[in-house]
Amino acid sequence: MLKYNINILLVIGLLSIGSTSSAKIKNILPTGLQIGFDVTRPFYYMWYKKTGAQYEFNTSLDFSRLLLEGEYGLGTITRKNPPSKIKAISANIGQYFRVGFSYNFISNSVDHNAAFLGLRYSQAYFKDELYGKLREEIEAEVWKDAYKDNVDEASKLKAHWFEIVAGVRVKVWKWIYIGCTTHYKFAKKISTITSHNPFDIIGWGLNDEDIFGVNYYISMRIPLQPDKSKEDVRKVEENKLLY
Amino acid sequence: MHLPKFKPQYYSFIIITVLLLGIIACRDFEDCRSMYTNEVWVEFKGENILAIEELYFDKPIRQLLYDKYTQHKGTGKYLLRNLKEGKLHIPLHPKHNTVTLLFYRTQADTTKPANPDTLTIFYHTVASLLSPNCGIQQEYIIDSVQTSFAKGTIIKPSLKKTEHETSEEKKKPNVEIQY
Repeated sequence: MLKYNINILLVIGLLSIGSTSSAKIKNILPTGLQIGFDVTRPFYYMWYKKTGAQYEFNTSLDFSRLLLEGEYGLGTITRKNPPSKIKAISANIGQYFRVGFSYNFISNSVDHNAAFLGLRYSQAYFKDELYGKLREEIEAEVWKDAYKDNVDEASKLKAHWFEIVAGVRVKVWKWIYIGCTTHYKFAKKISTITSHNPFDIIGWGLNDEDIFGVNYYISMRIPLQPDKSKEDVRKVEENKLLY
Repeated sequence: MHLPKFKPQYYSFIIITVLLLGIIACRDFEDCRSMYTNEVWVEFKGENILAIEELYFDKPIRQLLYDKYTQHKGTGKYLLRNLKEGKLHIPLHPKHNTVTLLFYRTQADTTKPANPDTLTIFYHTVASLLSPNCGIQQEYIIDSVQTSFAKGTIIKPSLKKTEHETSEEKKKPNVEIQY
């Protein structure tokens, strides 16, 4: 008897799902996919900062007001002493990713523009190298000739942190968009440090406690559903013609 | 070009975003002061007076560190006359990972051979770039202590200069010895 009851309930359940309108299902599915590239990052780090090449790509799935975001970056951060100073070279080479979501404050934008606030979880995998001469800065002069000649360390490390992001995205032409995102990065943790502490962390920046970062990107939108807002405009125009 | 039609509340959002761009963190690469030191601050706790005649390094190199005539640079007090009221600064060796100290107590009967108390500090160093302009600095971190005194406890493992410590940290020694 119990078995039959369960079957009946299952059938009723399935029927109720079947009767759900396709419009409701469409509301759950993503409306578009945004694929972008940080345009200023390679130029800024290669030619202005001169610390090496860095690249960053991002994707975003639009679920109406909720944006599911993913970012991937790779590159090198190299620091070198000026010619007149003590020899010191630091290099951080690796890759990172960010995943999270944002809330879009602009609703019913015909062009799918966005002004958003969100949260990200980030992880970086990198190799850090440190080479140079140690500064002679020892408090007590007890140990004579005790300075290390050279530091030459290399280690593979992992770091993870969280980010609060705020940004805007604006349509410029057909399916091309430009955007800007500001990141407040916090709660960073680096895997066990044995020999040396990295000066920079790829994806994070300077190895300080908390830090800000900015991305300027160009992206393209791939629609995953017929444009609802444009359909509405078309229907209104058709109605105008009929009457 | 299709510019978005923002409601007034969204303008404040954009203003905040732009303001955030202006406060991107930066570091002074010309400030070459390291925040680390190689000196361990050791404090002694006990009931009676602890007077030390001579304090030697045994490892890595045997050499005298302080004797009973050594005075504190600031106060002029004799460092080893009564360690119950004082504190000692022990420099760690930059090239090694262990230092051993020998404490020769002041004895009433000088005919007997002195049997020193020992304190061994095990530590490791972590190098980091202070800045490209300033070079590489080294942090000293205490891993463990062994002593022939009653007890040795690590309070602050990382050796930092006092100006880079919090007001709470400034009050505490790196190592506490109970005798």
